[in-house]
Amino acid sequence: MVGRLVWLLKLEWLKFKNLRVFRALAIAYTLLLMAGLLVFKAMPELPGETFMQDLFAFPLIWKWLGYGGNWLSFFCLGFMGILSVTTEFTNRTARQNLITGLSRDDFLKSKVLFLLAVAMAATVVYVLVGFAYGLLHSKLLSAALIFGSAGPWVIGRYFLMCLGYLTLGLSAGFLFRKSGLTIFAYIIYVSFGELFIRWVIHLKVLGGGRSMVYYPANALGYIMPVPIGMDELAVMTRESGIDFIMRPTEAAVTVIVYTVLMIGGSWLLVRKRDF
Amino acid sequence: MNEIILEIDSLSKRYGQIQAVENLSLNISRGTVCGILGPNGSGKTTSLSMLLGIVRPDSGSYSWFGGRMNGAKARKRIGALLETPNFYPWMNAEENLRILSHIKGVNPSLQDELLDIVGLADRKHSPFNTYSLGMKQRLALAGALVGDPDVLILDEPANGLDPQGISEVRSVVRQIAALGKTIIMASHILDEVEKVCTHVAILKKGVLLAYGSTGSILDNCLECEASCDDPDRLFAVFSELSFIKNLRQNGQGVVLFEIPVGQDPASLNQLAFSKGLILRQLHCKRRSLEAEFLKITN
Repeated sequence: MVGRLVWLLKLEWLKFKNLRVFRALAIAYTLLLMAGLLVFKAMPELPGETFMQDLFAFPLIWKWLGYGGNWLSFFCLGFMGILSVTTEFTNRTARQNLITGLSRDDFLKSKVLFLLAVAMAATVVYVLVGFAYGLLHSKLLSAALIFGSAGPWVIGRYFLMCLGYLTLGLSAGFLFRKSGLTIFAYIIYVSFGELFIRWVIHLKVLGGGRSMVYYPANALGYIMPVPIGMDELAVMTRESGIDFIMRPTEAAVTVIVYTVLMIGGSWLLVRKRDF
Repeated sequence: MNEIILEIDSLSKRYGQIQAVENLSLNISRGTVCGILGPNGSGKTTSLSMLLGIVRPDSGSYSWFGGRMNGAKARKRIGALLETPNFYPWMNAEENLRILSHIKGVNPSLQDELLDIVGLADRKHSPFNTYSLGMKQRLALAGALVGDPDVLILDEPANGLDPQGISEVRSVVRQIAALGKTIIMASHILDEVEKVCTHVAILKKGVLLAYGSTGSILDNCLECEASCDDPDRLFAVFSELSFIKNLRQNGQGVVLFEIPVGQDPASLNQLAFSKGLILRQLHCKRRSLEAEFLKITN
């Protein structure tokens, strides 16, 4: 069983280890995650504001780095998820894989395993960068202080976020198959499409209530949210009638459900459609 | 030779309004070199795609190796070149073949030998996207040979090749056929099929019009032409013979006709001589696959 999984993972490694766009996305993710927060260092300190000083210290670093990583994952990891599938259809290598003797199930399994490995690697980068910033900027160090009240679960949420974006890209890739079309659809859906579906169709047309928060891109946004002002925003929205703010754990559970659903949907597409 | 290696039962596939393949049934024995002929759009590639598991049939079934192996397991024992060569453009020949070896679970060290066979050894480190169409086709042929498959499926293997390449493909196919491997080859080059294939299947609009040994498809009759000083009289003499079919004159003093394969053309010469007609030429030849193909498909 383990040997089989390693065999499938190696197959994907052989395919993509030398693909330049993959390397570029991986390097961009790593460098921007490392350097992105340095932008705040260039900003002037405002009187009375303390978060700027604490931004790089434990435990706030995990939240800020996670929020930055959310944007990077949307682009870099989402595109990797898309390209891992669409390059196979554009170059017709998916059909060649099947002709050569790969089963349809193994084709999908190899993709999912590859994305799991990418999500793990992205999370390791997050942890290493977080520890590096935290250790350099924290005056006091203790085990409890490192992760704060959120605990190490923040790393689990980051991993789920990475896997969620990768899976969203993967399933979009299986649905549309063409790289350009899939990237366009992915960006439009995450940026505008889902907002329209949630606020106009779900809430106004269908008259749905708070269930309008349970959408994949929305959950991915709230799994590592912007670290400041969320509590105040939650109070404001509750007073307005609908609490449309997701808690990180609620978002994490939603992401898990959608990740499973998207892999299931991809499996149906792989099984039913011609290659 | 009698072991059935591929059994196809009523395979059908429709794309919208187009019936690509209709009730295709066929058995192919081990060691057969089967040529699949048909005009463009006759369902050759769709049929092969279904047999290779990349297109889902609407109805019907097929089984490989007497049902002992099916699906992906069977495909690992099959080498195929279907339509265009499909490789990862950012990889070189060696890396691309390594992926095929990995999927088939065979030792990649034998790749160099395959690249030698198809004449790509000196370009094995060049990226696939720098190859000419002919080189891509050669690599696809090497890819089909990875793992020493029991069955080889070739869809227009000579596409894009120069005369030397076509000759090399022909040579490789003959070498493989000589090893007793089963080959299924779709081709437009009828002369090639006639020379290499033991069996022929002719498709048109997704329907199997004829299937049998190449001999049985071609050997029904001989096409003959004869000429003498008095072609009208020769025409009259031959018209009295019941075994002569399709008798006609070409307007240039040549009498054309067909006779059954068992009929000795020398008897016609004797008959003409006995009637005082001295033949200037009498030439009989087996009907070409091209002529038979055109006759069946039209």
